Amino acid sequence: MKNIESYYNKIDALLAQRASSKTGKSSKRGLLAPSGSDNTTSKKEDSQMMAIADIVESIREAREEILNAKQ
Amino acid sequence: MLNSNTKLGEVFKPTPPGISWTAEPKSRPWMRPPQETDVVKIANNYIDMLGNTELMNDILDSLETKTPLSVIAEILVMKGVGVGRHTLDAAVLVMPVIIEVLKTIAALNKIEVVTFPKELEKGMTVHPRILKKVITDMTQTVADKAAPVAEQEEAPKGLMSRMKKEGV
Repeated sequence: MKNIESYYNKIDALLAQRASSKTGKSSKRGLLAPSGSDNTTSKKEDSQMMAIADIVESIREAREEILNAKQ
Repeated sequence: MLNSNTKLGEVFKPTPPGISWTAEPKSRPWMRPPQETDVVKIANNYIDMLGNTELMNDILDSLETKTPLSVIAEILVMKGVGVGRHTLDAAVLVMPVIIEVLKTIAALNKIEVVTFPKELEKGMTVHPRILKKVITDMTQTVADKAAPVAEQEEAPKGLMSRMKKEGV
């Protein structure tokens, strides 16, 4: 259960990072890009996690829309 | 078949080693490749499944009893693994989607939910200091309320004992 919690938090962090990058600030600054150093998971796992993060984001957006429409 | 007449020794019968090799090849779900490997498809299947009205009522019952969402999600995905729908890895990957769908169901039905069991423990646990104070207060209240019981002299028993005269 602890692993699932950390995975869920990881997706949360990913979505938060994506939201902050949408606002215009780029996280990749400086001489070394952080993506090269913290690339611990394989590409397949990364792509699967991104896909799940997309679905989670869309569900959250849909939920907010429904709740706003109800109010 | 186990029933109330089954002897204890029969219940805890040890499994002979190598019993898994006696089953027919590919006769069990875990001996076959999973039905689905694409994570997105698996997630969509679970979203469709959670939209089912019959299942929805059961889920709402569970949510009202404050069962953590991760526990419900785990039960659902483990069932999928057992039946051979997908692998265990895919089950773990898909769990956040199920949790989000469950959160949406709860929000639409205005039910307060707990995502992880840890949060439930936080809300229910009481600090020992507070517990000690409550117990001390309760003991004090009970001691104050209890009326002092007058000690009664025991009447002498036995054949040779003197009987008390009435009116003296």
